[in-house]
Amino acid sequence: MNEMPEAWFMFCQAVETTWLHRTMSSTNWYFPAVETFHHIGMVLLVGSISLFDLRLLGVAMKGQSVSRLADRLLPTTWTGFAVMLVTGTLLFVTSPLSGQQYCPNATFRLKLILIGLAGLNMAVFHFTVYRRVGEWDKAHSTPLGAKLVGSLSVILWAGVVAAGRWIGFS
Amino acid sequence: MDRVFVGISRKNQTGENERRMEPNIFDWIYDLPISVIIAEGTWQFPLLEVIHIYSMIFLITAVALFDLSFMGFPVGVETISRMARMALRWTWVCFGINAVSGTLLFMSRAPEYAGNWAFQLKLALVFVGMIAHTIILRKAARWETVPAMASGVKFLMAGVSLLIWTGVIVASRWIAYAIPEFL
Repeated sequence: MNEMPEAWFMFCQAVETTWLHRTMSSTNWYFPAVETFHHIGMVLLVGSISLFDLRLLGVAMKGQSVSRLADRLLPTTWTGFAVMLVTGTLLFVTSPLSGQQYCPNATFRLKLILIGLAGLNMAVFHFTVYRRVGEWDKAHSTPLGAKLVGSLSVILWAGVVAAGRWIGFS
Repeated sequence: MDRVFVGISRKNQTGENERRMEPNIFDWIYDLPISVIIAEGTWQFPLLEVIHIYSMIFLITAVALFDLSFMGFPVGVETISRMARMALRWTWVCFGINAVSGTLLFMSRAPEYAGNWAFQLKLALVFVGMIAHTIILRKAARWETVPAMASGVKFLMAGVSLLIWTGVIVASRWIAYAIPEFL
């Protein structure tokens, strides 16, 4: 716990005094119940993103228009992300320093960084390669930039899943 | 409140004498060299779990993608028969990975998992889910075009399939909690 930066430790201590923390930790089963929804959200989020990545890499859904696939998948991706954000916050609030002890957990911080990088990767894609999607929308073979973004996305999200599972073991 | 997910250490397993007096198949599996390696190693169990979970995401995505097309909500412009071929490939590859990793995970905690109600429920749901998926795939392989909207029965079948696989995720998560120490 000594490794934690002072501000982070103070923040985590403050979280433990909140009403939400007390409510969440008042029964044994709130945590696993929220965790269950976290897992359903994970399948929606990572599943829909991976499907799009596979199209960018030319592995699956090759007959699909890229922009149409993006339009079809985005509602699921955003729904999954919203579920993850809400349930993830609740899980964190339940045990920042007690229970699962997310605050001193290095894997937890790694997971947050990986999510940030995955988001950055998406933003870069949106403002660069995807701008000119009209030129390669229906092409079976996508431009190098799209393949690069797709590969990075697969690696980063696999990392998020792995880190997520490893939090409980570290 | 005990939320430790790390495997129960062999030394802490109670009833050593009891087990020897009444040996069963799960104890025998638990004592196999490969089970011991997974149970006593630090990274083997979590690594297998990560593979299991990651592969599960692709398995359920492929099944859900197909079920939604079958219900009349196609994700793309693919014909239902092309979707059926794609889903078939992905689900069976992922199912294979999940079966192997799942078996190894089971072996390392066989006596514990065998008596776990969430684990038993999950196995039953996966079994029913794969049968339902195969039935729906067979029906769909005959169609060349995406139907505008599926009929009531088809809609219901695919809907039940989606519910079963959601149940698989739920039951999976509760394996860690379906223990006397927790509830």
